[in-house]
Amino acid sequence: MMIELPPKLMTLFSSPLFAITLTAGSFLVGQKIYKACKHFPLFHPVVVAVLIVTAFLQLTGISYEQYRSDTQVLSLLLGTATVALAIPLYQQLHLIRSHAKPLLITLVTGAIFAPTIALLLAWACGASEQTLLSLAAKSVTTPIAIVVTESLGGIPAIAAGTVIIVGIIGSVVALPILDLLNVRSRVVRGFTLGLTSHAVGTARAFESDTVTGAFSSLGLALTGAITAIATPLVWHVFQTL
Amino acid sequence: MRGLFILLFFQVLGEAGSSLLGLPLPGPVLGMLLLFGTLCVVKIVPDDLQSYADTLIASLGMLLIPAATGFGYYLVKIQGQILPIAVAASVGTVIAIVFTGLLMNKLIREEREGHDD
Repeated sequence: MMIELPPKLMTLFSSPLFAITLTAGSFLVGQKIYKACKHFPLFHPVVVAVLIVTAFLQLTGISYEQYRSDTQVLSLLLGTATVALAIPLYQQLHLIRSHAKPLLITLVTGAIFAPTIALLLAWACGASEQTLLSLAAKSVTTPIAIVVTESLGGIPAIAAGTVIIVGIIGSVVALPILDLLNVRSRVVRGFTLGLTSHAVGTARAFESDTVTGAFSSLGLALTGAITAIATPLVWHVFQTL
Repeated sequence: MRGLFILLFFQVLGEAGSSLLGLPLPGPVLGMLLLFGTLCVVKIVPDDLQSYADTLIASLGMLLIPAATGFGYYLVKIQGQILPIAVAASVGTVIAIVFTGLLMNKLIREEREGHDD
């Protein structure tokens, strides 16, 4: 499934300028499709964009490694965007004060429980050490998952892919599950969505109502910060078992 | 320009702190925590910092495409790992939702009852 292209065109295709434009364009298409599908989680913009980029690489025969190195500046900016997450986190501080104790206990327990249960399940199903390393940060927002996984020595691609899948699953099943459990509080529903299903779940929470949305983004931001600290520690304990 | 500089400055600070002190924390995350701490002290978010942050956060989805694109390539290479990844992502997420939801629901209820006393 590869097209023979003139060498000059190939040179253009394997340049940073082209790779970044391709990435931005694919994301734009992804956003349009997502909107057209009324924000159906399976058609999340990142999912669509990844499919477009993959199709392009397969058709032209450009290797993933080449594309990754051409887009390195985007990975650098991903770090800058991670730093920028401090601002919404700071702006949601007032929400923490309203329910400080339940929020903080849930946050710390949940942020340790989620990676632990994921690691145990994956380990029981025969995951390799490298897969385990890449799954440790799975319930946290993707940019943080990528930087945490990189620093642990896992594969960022597995972390990124899994995080997005987790977000999609969570945003579809979380509210029905909470209905079944008879959990009605919007504070709890929002925080649970953000803690377990990060940005995709938060988008779902905002569709429900603004209180659920606000607590979901609080859960997302706080979990990101705590997980970044807790995951290396959980991994350390897991390793010594 | 100042907003972008502040973000980059904290990113550099985070990288430096993480590597010089040998912390297990990734540089950008440490940078985020340092900026968060600074904001808690100065108690103000300058407009240009806000606008650069908004732009970057709005482009987060695009910034992770290069890493996310690798997912399919690695799955093909390590087919034996698809099951553990799928189980961790699906079952793990459902368990995490049940656990978090029930725990926090109980805590919030206790808090309310505490206020009634």
